[in-house]
Amino acid sequence: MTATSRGAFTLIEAAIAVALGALLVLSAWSAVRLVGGTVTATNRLATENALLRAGWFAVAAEADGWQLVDDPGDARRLRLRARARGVIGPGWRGAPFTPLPPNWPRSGVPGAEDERGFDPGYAWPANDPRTWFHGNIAQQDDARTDRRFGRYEIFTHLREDITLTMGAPAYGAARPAHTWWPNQLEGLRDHLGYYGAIDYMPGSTIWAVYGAGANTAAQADDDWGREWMATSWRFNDSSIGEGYWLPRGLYAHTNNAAYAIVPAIPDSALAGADDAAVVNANSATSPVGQYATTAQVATFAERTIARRALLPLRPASWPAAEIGVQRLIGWRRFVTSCRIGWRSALSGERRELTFTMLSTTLRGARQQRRLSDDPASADHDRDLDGGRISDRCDVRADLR
Amino acid sequence: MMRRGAILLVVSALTAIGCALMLALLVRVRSDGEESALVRGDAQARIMLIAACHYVQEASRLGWDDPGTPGHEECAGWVDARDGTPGPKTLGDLVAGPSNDHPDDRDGNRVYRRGSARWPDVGGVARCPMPVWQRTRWAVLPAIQNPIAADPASPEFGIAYLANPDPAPAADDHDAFAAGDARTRPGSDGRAWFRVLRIAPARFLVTSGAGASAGFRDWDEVEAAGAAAVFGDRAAFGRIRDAETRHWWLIEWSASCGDSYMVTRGMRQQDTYAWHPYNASHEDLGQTNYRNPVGSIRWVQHLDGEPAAW
Repeated sequence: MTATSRGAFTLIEAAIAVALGALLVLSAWSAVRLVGGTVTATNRLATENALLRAGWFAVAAEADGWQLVDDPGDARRLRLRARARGVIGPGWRGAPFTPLPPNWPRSGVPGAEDERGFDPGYAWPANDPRTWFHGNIAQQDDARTDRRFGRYEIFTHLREDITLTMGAPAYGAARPAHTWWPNQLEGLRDHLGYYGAIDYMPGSTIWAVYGAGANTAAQADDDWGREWMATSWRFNDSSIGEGYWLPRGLYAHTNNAAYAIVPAIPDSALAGADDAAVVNANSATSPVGQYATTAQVATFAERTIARRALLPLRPASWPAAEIGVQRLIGWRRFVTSCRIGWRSALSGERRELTFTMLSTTLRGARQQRRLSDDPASADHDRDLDGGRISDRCDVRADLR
Repeated sequence: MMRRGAILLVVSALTAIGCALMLALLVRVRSDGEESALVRGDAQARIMLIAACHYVQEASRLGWDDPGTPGHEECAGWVDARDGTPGPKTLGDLVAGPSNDHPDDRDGNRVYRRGSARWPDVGGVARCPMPVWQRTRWAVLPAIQNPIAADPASPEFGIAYLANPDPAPAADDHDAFAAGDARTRPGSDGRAWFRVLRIAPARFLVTSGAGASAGFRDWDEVEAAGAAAVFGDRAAFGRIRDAETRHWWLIEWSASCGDSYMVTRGMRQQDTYAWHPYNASHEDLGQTNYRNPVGSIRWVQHLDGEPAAW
């Protein structure tokens, strides 16, 4: 038998070659599909990561600028400058961004007890007796004390001339020595709401004054101000079981409850609400601690967060991302709770990053805003507290 | 030969496609990395704001002790709690006079000299690079010193014994415990810094940064500090400065610490601006009897742009 060369495949060779070729093509096709899927998933993840990065800068800018809840360039976001009358007492009440100078004008002698209105340049030095609490911190309300430790109403009071009628014998007419501090406390509360008053007052504030101001319900000069201490009514949280009337610091008011900025913006719970509702919501305490129900905490969380879509106009295949900032005071801490959330365009799965941040406070945000947007106005260089903007960063050794 | 040439062409084309894809991937990864670095730098700079606030708070009273004297000099605040004049001034009797100054410290120097425009005077600047020490002063071990026995067979099962001192120092001898280890941890140098310009007795302009400039504002400042060799030349410093993240803030210090309610309850949590979730359950854990003797930060304002002086 001699070897001969062949010019063609046998049928078996051809069949095997075709089968192998088909296997090769299928494998290649699978590989291409796998690579394609991987590229798509990678791109999706890359897009999510890019949105996360954009979300960080957006939420940090919001934490610093408070634009979601108060934007001078968007009339829909100016509701926290509202005022309303008769919400709690007979007088006017404001919200966290209500301008102070036109609503609480300066009067009296600067640095004296009769000074009224807010001085943005005053640092409340600890040596100034005006800044001290002169009331009796151990004194409960009128019905539970015979004032055996003295009548502290004559030391500090909201009103400059008072008449003390309770007790036997009654004290009668008096002119309290210190009226500036109680009026600062009530004035900030009346014009900025609860969160605003806490933000502006020093950390050691005792939340109590003797007497009633013009914006609160009438009462005898002998009493503590009811709004600060009345059990579970307005400012006072009594869920810790200490509901009796007693002057207290911030911790006692916030270890089971919180004060918050309640935004009144599109897509918020207060969208479309009238001024009275906006003012009322920003002068309230909310249970969020161990005695609060799940529904109360959920309602609080929903009412107090300000959200916006990160990319309102986005490709359909991109995740729907949003940012949110919530500001509250709980456990005597100021909390700026930031959220970056996104929902997968394919699976619908929602994820959220939540973190807190040290950033611009309410007073800082008010100092960022102009009292007037008209460049020709003298108020153009004033902030919402009346402070001058143009020289704020100048070195000034005389400022106290 | 024709067939071999075709294979070469096909392989070359595939290789070129692969290279192009790889290049695109590298560009994408680099771009993502640069964007992530911006996020990291921004976060780092914001952390430096917290460090700056702590520095301002503590320097209102602490940090002025002269180690060469037996006493421990302390001061009475940026606005002196005794008379309202700018501080910090050492504790002691007032010295009568037009400037209402306070006594010299035990080393014969005055902590605060009004009119010098040098830190801590109004107009002065404190520049604070923030590398991480190998071990900070008075560092304690994070480990649990008295674990409760979890074995039911153990006679000590479930019983909390204070068998070992808790916390435990992170250094063996007291001198090392007090001094710490100031060598910087690898990778932490040149990452972040802050500087503080005192613009009023209680107000400060804080610059917080992430980058390798160590908080120097410009080359002239570098040369004045004798640090030119660290950066090489003006152009190199300029490149470092341009690559940094910076934020500017106004803050105001207050002598006010917290409310008395916590003291009466034996829990002294008196910091005013500490950011926590509102339902934080960990608040009651750990040591509760700590105090805040250094005041609080009353407000913070982020500035939109670079101020004229910082």
